[in-house]
Order: sequence, then C-alpha cells, then structure tokens
Amino acid sequence: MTRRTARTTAGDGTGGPAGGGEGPLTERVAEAVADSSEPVTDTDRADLAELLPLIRRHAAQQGLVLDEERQLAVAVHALAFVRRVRHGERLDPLADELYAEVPGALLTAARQLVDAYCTPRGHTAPDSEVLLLALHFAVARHTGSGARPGDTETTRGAQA
Amino acid sequence: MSEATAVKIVIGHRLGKGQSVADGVRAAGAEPVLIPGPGADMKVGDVMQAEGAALGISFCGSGGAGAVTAKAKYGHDIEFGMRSAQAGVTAVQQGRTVLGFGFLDSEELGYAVATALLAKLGTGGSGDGAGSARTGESA
Repeated sequence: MTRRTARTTAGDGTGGPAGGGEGPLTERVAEAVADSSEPVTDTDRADLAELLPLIRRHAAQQGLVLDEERQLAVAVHALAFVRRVRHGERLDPLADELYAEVPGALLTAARQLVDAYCTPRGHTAPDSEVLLLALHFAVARHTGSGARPGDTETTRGAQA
Repeated sequence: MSEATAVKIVIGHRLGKGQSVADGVRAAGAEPVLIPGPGADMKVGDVMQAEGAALGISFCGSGGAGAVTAKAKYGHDIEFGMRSAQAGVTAVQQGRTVLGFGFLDSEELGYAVATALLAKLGTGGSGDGAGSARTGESA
C-alpha cells in the first residue's frame, strides 16, 4: 500500500536553480505524481534524499546549473531509478549507437554517480541506466536548460 | 473534411524516435504529431497546447520526465513509468491525458492507445490513413 500524503523533509538541497532557495525538490516530484498509480512513498523519499544530493554534486562537477524544469525531470527519473534499484529491476540493454550520442566524459561521470548510489546497496546498474541518466545532462547542456555558470548564451539547437 | 475534426495525439521521444508509434496512431484513425529531435519528450506539453491535442505520449528511459513536465506546466492528468501498451490503454480509460512510457517505440502501442482514446471520445476510428503524417515543428 502506498502512502500518498505522508511527508518528510527530504533535505536534498536541490530546490533552486543554483542548488537551493525554493521548496524541496522531492516534494515537487511527490506533488507531480500524487494522482498517478504510484505516488511517492516515505521509502522513495528516503532514497531520493540520498540520491538527489549526489546528482546535484554531479551536475556541479559538470558545470551545469539545472533550471527548474530540468531539475524536476531529473528528479522524476531519479524516482524511477531508486525504485528499480530497490526492486532489483534491470532495464533492457539499449542500442549501441545510442551511446555514441553522448560524450564519453558524460558517460564516465554518470557511471561514477550511478555506482556511488548503487554499490552500497549491493546493486550493479547496467549500462542502460548510466546512459539514460547521462542523457538528461546531455540534453540539458544541448538545450540550454542546464546552463554552465558564466555562460551568456547557450546552444538551443534542438529546442523547438 | 475529416482533417478538421481529427483527434491529435502528440508523441515525444527522448531520443527523437517514435515513428512506429506514430504509424500505429495513424492506423487507428487518429492524427499523430511527432516531435522531432532529441529531448522531444520534454516538449510534449508545449506541443499539445499548440496543437490542441487530446493526448500526449512521452517516451524516456524512466517514462516520467516529459509527462511530469506537462503536468507541471499545463496541469495535465498523467500516468508515468508505464512499460506496456495495456498500461497505456488503462490510463486512457482512466482519463489521463499525458502518458509516460519507457522506450517502447512500437506500432502496437500507438494503435492500442489511439484506439482507446477514440473509443473514450466516442469518435471511433476510421482506420488507415485518417490522420496526416506531420511533425510538431510549430511548437
């Protein structure tokens, strides 16, 4: 039985565009999926409280400051990811050519991020998990929703 | 002209795919609007708004980012993290207007979801060729 309304302070610190300032990101995700068939549970909140700071640190290391929309998107991805890890679920492999669409450095960094979360849990995430997370950062960089600090204008080539 | 009353379904795929889903939507008698380019899943809500679409289908690895973004920006009723065509059909029957899937670029999914939507709207499907193939460049 899932719990729709139980709330705890996630303390993820990823609320604002620069990593702080607005309400906890976890609660934004919880609100967004509250009416779905799988609303956020306290277990999800506990797991996100560990993963989201890792993601924020990862983004900072990549020189990305994620806008609100991208933060929410990454956090929703994180929610699905922590559930898969918890349930030992493994994504199907993705086509090899997809990996070529993401810079190698992003993939390497995403692998480190994924392992930082999974290894203490005795879980080894498949490469597909790494690619999907890396894609979030690649798209953010590509569309300008993940501006690098100091950028005056970012590439928006794929943005409609 | 049937085009004036075509039921539009917007499709956005994280990797810029989704053609098979669009084919299935068209086969069911709805009009697919396929958003081109990478990161298209994040534009589903925007293109639905621009096109006056009845349904949006978002595909990404976890099946949620585009749907949640559409809800946050436009208040859509969503279901996310789905992995099967049947889950999408159920979501449509429940009145969801944006569906979030993992990577499932299949004609079967597009056909099933579009058929369910048309049934729910009471418009029925006219089969192959009812919708014109377009891309959502206008968003």
